[in-house]
Amino acid sequence: MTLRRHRWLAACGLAAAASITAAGCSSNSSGSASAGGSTGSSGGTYTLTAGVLHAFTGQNAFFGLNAQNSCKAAAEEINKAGGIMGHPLTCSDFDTKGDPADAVPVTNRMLVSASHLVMVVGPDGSDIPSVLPVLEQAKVPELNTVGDPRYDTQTSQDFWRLTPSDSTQAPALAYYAYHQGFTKIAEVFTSDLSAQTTTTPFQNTFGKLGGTIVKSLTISPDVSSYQTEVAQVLAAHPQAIVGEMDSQTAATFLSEMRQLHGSLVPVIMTQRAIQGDWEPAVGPAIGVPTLAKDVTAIAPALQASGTAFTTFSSAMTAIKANPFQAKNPFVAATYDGVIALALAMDMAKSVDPGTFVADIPKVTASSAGGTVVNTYAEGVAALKAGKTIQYVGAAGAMIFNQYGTANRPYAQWGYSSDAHKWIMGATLPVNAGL
Amino acid sequence: MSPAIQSYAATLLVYLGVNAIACWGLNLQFGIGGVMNFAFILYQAMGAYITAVLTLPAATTQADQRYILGLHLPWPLPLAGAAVSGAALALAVGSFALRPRRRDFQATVMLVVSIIAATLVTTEQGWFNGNQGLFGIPQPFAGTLSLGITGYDWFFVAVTLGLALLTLAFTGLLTSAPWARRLRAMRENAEAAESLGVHVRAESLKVYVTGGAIAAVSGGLLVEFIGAWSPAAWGTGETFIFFVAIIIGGLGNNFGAFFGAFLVLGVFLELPTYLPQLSDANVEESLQSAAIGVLILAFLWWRPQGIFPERKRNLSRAIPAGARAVAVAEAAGTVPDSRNEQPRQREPDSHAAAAGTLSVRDLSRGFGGVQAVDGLSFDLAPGQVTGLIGPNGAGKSTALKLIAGAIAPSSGKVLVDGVNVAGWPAHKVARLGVIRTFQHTSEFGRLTVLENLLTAAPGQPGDSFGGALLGRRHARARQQELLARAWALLADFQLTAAADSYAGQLSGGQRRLVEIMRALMAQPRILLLDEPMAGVNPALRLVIEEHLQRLRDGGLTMLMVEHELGSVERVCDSVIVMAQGRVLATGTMAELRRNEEVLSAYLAG
Amino acid sequence: MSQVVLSLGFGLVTASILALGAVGFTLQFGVTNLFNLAFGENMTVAAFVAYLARVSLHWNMWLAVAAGALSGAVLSLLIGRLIYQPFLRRGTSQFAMVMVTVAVSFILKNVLQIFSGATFYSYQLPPESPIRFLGMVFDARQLTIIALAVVSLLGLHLLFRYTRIGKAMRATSDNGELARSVGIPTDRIISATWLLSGLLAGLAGVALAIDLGSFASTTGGSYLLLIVAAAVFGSVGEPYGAVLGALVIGIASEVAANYNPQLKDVVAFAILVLVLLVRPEGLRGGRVQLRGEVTV
Repeated sequence: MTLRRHRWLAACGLAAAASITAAGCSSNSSGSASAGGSTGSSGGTYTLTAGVLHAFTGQNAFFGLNAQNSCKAAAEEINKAGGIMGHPLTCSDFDTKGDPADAVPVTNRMLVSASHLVMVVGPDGSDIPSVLPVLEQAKVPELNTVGDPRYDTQTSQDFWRLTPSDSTQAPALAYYAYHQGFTKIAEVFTSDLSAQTTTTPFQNTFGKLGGTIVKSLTISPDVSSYQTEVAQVLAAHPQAIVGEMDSQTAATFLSEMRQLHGSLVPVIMTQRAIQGDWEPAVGPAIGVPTLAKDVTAIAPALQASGTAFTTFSSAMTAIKANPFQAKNPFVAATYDGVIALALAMDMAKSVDPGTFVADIPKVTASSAGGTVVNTYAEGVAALKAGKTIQYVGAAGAMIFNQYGTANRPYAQWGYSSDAHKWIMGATLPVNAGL
Repeated sequence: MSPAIQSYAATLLVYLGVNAIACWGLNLQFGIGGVMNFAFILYQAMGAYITAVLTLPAATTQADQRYILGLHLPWPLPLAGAAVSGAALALAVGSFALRPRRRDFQATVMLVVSIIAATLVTTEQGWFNGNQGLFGIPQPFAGTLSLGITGYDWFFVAVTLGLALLTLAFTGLLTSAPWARRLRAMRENAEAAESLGVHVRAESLKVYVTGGAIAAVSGGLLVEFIGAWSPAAWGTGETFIFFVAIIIGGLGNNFGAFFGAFLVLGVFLELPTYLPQLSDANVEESLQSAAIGVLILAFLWWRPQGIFPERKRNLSRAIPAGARAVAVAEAAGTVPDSRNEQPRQREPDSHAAAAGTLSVRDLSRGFGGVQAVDGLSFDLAPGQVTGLIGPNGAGKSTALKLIAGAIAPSSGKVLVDGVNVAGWPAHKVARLGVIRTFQHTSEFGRLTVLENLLTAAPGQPGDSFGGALLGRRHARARQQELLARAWALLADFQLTAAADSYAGQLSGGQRRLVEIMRALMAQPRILLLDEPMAGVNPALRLVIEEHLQRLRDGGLTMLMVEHELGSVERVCDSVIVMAQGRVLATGTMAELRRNEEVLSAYLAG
Repeated sequence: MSQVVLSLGFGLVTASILALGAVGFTLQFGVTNLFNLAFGENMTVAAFVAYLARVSLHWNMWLAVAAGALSGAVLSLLIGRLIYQPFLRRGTSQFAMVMVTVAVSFILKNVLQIFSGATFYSYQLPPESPIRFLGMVFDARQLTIIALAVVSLLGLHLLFRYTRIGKAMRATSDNGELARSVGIPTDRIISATWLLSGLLAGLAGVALAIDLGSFASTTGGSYLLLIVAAAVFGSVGEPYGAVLGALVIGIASEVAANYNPQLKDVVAFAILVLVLLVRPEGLRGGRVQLRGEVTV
């Protein structure tokens, strides 16, 4: 029985391997292999690639779209100033479909097909564990904005986190709530979030500050009705509700609260609320005026003005990005990241990731006698003049700690019904609540 | 070839291997056993999870990985653990999901389980670490072998190939055993299989558990390759991709399953990424998924058996040509001449064991407000043919079903050789030698005629899961015996030419004969015939009648429900008339024809 | 205690929506003997049609609900006649049929996604003042949903009891062959069933979308889990049983949430498992014999 089938299996396997070998050999000459390959001194003005490795489909698609435009805007800026040592930068998209198992072949494909891959924007948090080892093998650095605190002590040279870890989020939340005068609050988090990063640090900080949590609830996400839970929360008479919910959960929960109570109790959400899918779901469900009046989000701060920000804004406009994205701190941070890496390449005078990675902290750290630059063009000019630079971009200073995370300060964000976007308010002190 | 390309190639091959193993598991469950496992992805995820947990070394600083046992078991123990966990989960789910008799009902329940599990996994932090999953899972032998990165990738490909071949050999062993025949029979017609002694629920559970273990191993292998486990990788929709793969590739055919894995999971999902993007990524993805839906419909319409259909098993080749010829000659020498009344040359049909006795006492069963059978009592004369007639709605078929155990009575007794079998499941009653034929032909369509017959024979080594594992040689001797017996039957009924034809492709009359022969292969003590003459042409009717008479002469007790009163008169030694769920009268046809009550019942009903 | 009474009220709302869906699903099964796993998508389409009516055409909500319900009926009939029936006529087996319904659900969901993307939509209804009643709190919209469910179910009951078509449906549901042999035009009855169950799917879909506050292309599909649980509880094919199942599940989930909000997910599932272990034919089983083959 099986001999015939074994032969088939072996034949197919060999055929597959043979065809891929043939493909590899024939396409090798076009310089498609890039990992650890080409150095800056290769002849010709070839294009460098930044791979955008994200889910462009599924429920996390908005992260992908953010990354896509961050990269494009940065590339626009970089190329306007003459590229990286004369080489233009282009962004190539690779869809991981939000599936960590699918992400690995996609990463492999990226490594094979992207010409002169110098950096990767992404991937999503759920894909990092499976993708990072592959990228490390190829020695390509990646830029991400994931919040997972497990990376607070990671040691990979290729992992660069541009926004703060969630472990700083909950204390900032508590700090803000308390200093707004809400001393009796209800905390509501969804059960798919790790308690380590939400409930526990929040309770600790809030308690230390002197506040009381009158009701603590963990709700299941995406259920069809939360009326009982809402009733429980309201029965405890909190001054505000603090927590995190995804867009669908928030839409249902908050609209039911509005129905039951007549209006909303002040709501303070984490940075999840300023992500692209939240407001379109919650706004219509509770009414935009209510969203503007009662909901606040605590998210990383953004430089609201100055050269860096205007350059960023105009770049976003030039690539026809969604205007909402131009005010998103994560988009700004990623844009800054790409520019910082480009400057690192300029400083190291090399496009070989193995070489320039060491210069990334050097172009972002503050130093005595260093020049602060706010745009790529400024940075290139200063480097040419032999100066030490610190790039402070649209999202503010980006100081990487020893574990590759840039812990930035948070700010309070409110929704503007006229401008139809989240507007940043006051910035919280650095390490608020910690 | 650059390392990046090698890495890519190796990744694709590993994924192909993993998917092939998964497809073989699903093929066993669905292609062979007919169990529609809509929770398939759950088992793959379970295996992956357990493999991760068993492989991870003790947690150091990561507080959220507190579920880690820190066992850091050496390979291949984590995979063995995965197999066990997949089997255990399948056992738990199967215990309730396989309770309904209808397979689409079972499938729906499994789908619900899959959805609920997906939710629980992301919300039960303590066990699964929510959306974040497990990471940093060390690859097998990674530390000990010094092969370099690319070298290790190819090593893993070799490991995958090894496991794939092992799985293929294992499933091949199972699918060539008599056990697989029972599974296929179950797939074709569960009710008929049950009536021949196959414990459908138990066998379904066994095939479910086995498939679950295989799926778990495939998941474990994948996780060992990518080093991370996340709930997002095991969405409910993934199950259907596997179903599409085996439906397109070919149900019931291991090569088809492999091909389906290659085509659907390899080509269809990887190739479009090379095509230029026409529009928004979300739209493209939705188009792709909608296209898969259309593809399923297209295949189910035009080629439901897939590109590589299940291979036919031509068992007649196992019977020596000489023996075949002898049997045909013997039967030919005694073809009945319907015009002369000479007694038969051959022995009375010795298919039956000693005549069984059947008594029914106050048997009752209602549906809604209607009493189909209402206090039915009679005794069957052993070794005789008793007819059961009556107007429509009298409850005759229901009575047969109650006796055979297909329906449970609400009260009353059914005594088979003194044992009260009322309420016993059909397969248990069948084991006592009570075999029922069906009103609508119930042959196993995609099994050959010989296989149909062989399924019915009880006590074949190799017709259980354990027996199957012992290999074909173990079952060969008995199989030869049975084939000889089956061939003799076919010769008797003059159907040897159809021995290796699929039963579903025969004419209506031939299928009826197959059903009868099949019942006889089960060596019944009591044969319950439910309208055997229905839809049968007059010539064939006489043939069947003749066979029934010979069986009676051989000592087989028979109860025949029939509307063809001519047949009843010719064949039956005595007749019971039922009306309104109970016995109205008994006697010979001649007596009953004179009975006033009987006549009026027929006119009224 | 007052919290429990409160959640009882919420449970009634959930149960009303669930009842509409479960009865539609089980009715379809009873007459056509088909497990239609595309039922959830049927609901989603109706929710979208109501959205278009309300937000694009600016109809009032009542008309939008009617539009949604009607679209559900029409879609159900189209799918039944153009896809399911031809497959059934061909003699497609029971389990192949369930694959067909899954394929249809794939197609519907993804076509919706092509047009709607992954975004959430909402009818943007203004908030209303709460109405307190026996310790329970409702708003006018929720009371309307409950009333809609009650009226629809009552209408169904009258249909089954007193109209010819309703009685014919019951007969076909109980024993299709017998019904056919007695001259019931089963073809017409089946079409009527598709229309009716599609209507219920439409009502349930729109009501669900209203209750949730916002919906997307995946909303109906995820609701199928609850519908199946309710239908199985009351015995599949039995409309009255489905109502009972909806009540039990709807109220139990809300009351359980009082003790632990995460129990909500699990209640429906636990009930389903319990029923299958203890009494697989459901509460009103024995009344309807689950037939072996699928009828046309």
